Order: sequence, then C-alpha cells, then structure tokens
Amino acid sequence: MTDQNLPELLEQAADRTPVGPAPIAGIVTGATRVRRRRAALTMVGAAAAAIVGGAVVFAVPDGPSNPQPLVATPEPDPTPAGMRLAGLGHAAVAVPQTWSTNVFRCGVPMEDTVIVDIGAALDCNQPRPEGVDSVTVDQGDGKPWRFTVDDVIQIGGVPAERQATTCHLDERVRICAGTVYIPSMDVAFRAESSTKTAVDRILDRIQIFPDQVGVPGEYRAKTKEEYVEALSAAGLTAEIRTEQTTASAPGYVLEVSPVPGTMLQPGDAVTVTVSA
Amino acid sequence: MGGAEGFSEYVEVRWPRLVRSAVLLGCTPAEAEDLVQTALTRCFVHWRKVERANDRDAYVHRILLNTFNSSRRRRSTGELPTASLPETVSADETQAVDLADAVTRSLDQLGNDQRTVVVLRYYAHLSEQQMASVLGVPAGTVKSRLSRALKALADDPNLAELRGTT
Repeated sequence: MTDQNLPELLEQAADRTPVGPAPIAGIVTGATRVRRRRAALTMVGAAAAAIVGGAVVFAVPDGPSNPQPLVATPEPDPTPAGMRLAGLGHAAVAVPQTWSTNVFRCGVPMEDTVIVDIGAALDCNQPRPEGVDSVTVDQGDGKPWRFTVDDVIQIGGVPAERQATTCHLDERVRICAGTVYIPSMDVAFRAESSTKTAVDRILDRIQIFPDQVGVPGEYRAKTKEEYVEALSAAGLTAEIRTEQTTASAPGYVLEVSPVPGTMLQPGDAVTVTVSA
Repeated sequence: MGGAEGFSEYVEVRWPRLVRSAVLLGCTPAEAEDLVQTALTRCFVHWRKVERANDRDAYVHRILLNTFNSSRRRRSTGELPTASLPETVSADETQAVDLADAVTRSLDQLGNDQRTVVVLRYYAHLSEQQMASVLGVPAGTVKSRLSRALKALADDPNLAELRGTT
C-alpha cells in the first residue's frame, strides 16, 4: 500500500460502479430554472431572456451516450438498441425493451413498466415497490393534476411543458417524479423512479414521430363503438373479433392487440376483441 | 451561449469520473448520480464564473464536496429520514471479498477529511494546490491530512494482503 498503487486500487474500485450517460438536458433545465428564478428576483429581465433563449436552442451533441437532441429536429432519432417506443398520438418515449406494459395494481406500478392511458384507477393504498421505474402516458385528459410549468422545452420542434423533477418519501419509499406535457397533442408523460437522474433520463427520451401513431388505451371502460372511434381518430383501423364471456357485459372491449402505446403507421389495423 | 457548449463537453467527459468520485466518498451509485447532477446544475448556473476561475476542476470539485457535505449533514440530524438507508458500506460487505471491496472498506475506516483528500488526490488527480483551494485550507494542512490518511491506509488490515501482492 503505497501512493504508487493507491491510484490503481481506487481506479479498480471505482470502475465497479456502472455509470449511465450524463443527463445534460436535465442539468441544463435545472440550471435554467434557477437562473430564471434568480433573474426574476433581482428584476434583471433582459439577462433572464438571454439565458432562456440560449437554453432552448442549446444542442446536446449527438452520440451513442446521448440519444436525445434537445434542439428541434424534424427527424426523430432511431430508437436505441434494446429500447422500444411507447406513446400516444405522435409522441412516444423510448423505454428499455425489458419493461412491461400496464403492470400495475390500483394504479401503482409493480415492476419497471409503461402505463398507457389506463384511465381512472381504484386507489387502494397499494405501496410502490422500491427501485421501480415507470412512465405513465395519458392523452386527452388535459393538463395533469397539480401540474406546474417549470420550463418550456422543444421536442422535435414541438413546444412542451416540463414540470421539474422532485422527490418525496411515500410509505418510506423514495419516489422522484417529473412530467412533460405536450399541449398541442394533449399528451402527458410522467416518469417515476427512485432517483432524479433516472427520471430526467427517461423524460429525455421523449420524441415526436410525425409518421407514427400510438395505439389508444383505456379500452376496458369502452364499448366497441367508443374504442373504434378512438382508433379512427388516431388514424388506425379496427379488426373486430368477438369472444363469449361472462366477465363483461356484451359489446365491451376485452383486449386490444398490439398493446396500447405501440407505435404504428397510420392505416394499420388493431385487433379489438369484444365481448359477445 | 458559448458557455453552454463548453459545459456540455465538460460534463460529457467528466460525468463518469465525478459520479465514481462520489461513490468513493461514500455514496451509493444512485445517490452519487443525483449528487453530481445537483452539483453540476449549481456549476452551470454560474458557468461563466467557473470558466473564468481558470481551474474548472477545482471549482467543480468544491461544489461537489459542498453538495456532498450538506447532504450528509441533513442525514445526520435526521431531518430527512431516509427509508431504506441504502448505505454503501453494508451493501458492499455482502459481496464477495475482492480487491475493490477491500479498498472501499479501508476508505470507510478513514475519517471524512482523510477520505476526501485521498479521493481528490489519487482518484480525481487534483494537485495539492488545487486541493487546498477546493477544501479551503492551507496547502500544509492538505499535506498533513494526506500523510495521515496514507499512514492509516498502510496500517489497515483490509489492505494487508494487497500490500503483499504489490
């Protein structure tokens, strides 16, 4: 143990920690907010405007470690390997392929999952398990509950509102959450995780896909007609199958395939299973 | 804003090392990422000042340490009860005994001041002069802390076997 081999030992110990890509966008958003707040406090309006303007066009260099540009780009980046898209309308977020869709209990995610438009969920005080990452996508509900606009960002040239990521303790589990709301599409993405960095990283992966559209959700409460209408509003077509069941009154949607949130080309067919 | 590009380049390059520095200081990997993000956010607020400071590394590490120390302070007074207490120490000890664990354990034996100087000097590779400015203490104090830390590490039984192999 001398100071010759100490750097080497520290290096080896440190290398054991896997480190994700730097959340530059999150840092810039956070700093912009602080600057703006301070500028407002000191009444230096002009300085604040300059900073705000600078931050919006600030580009994150492209590269494997930075799948998301902050700058307005008409063409979305290709989805990184090992990721899949989940979204509604033309907005989608890339999540790891290992994430499930709509695995929740009483509206609370039970594993790493995407929750697509489940509508109202029964609140049964289900505690959130530790270490679960999730993103909830909703469309057509207006601004999310208790949403505050902390920053205005551009996603693929579309203005979006960002609620800052904050953390709290819920039943002794630390939950950090942040929200992006796209007013022109009325789509909201709310990411939750145990760390701020993870939340910002998820929300950085939201993109706009002008040529694709997400399969609508909230089908369980809908009749065949209502869901088919939602499909055609999204530009998709329906392929109806009926199934004899006692679990549901006739005429209601039992299942849709592919799962809600899947991004399809307009005109593609969605198989809708309806109770008979 | 020219500063923004400089900043994103800087973060791109330094992010992994800063996060790992925080882990060596005693954070869990998740805590470390949040800590570094908070510190870098503070740095970016004053990025022009940081660039003017002529020594970005020293400045960034000072902010990182301040952020780290204030997070610890809050925890020790119990104002923010952390539910799961994900302290690195116990997590590491359940893993197989290997070199990295021995290093982490021996760092855990050091006091906060000594641990900090070891990480800054031998992992962040700051000079003694830079460390003096980061820690806000005279260079002589940095030297004496370092030599005491090295002595403590040399006497640490956790690293005894490593001494034989190197």
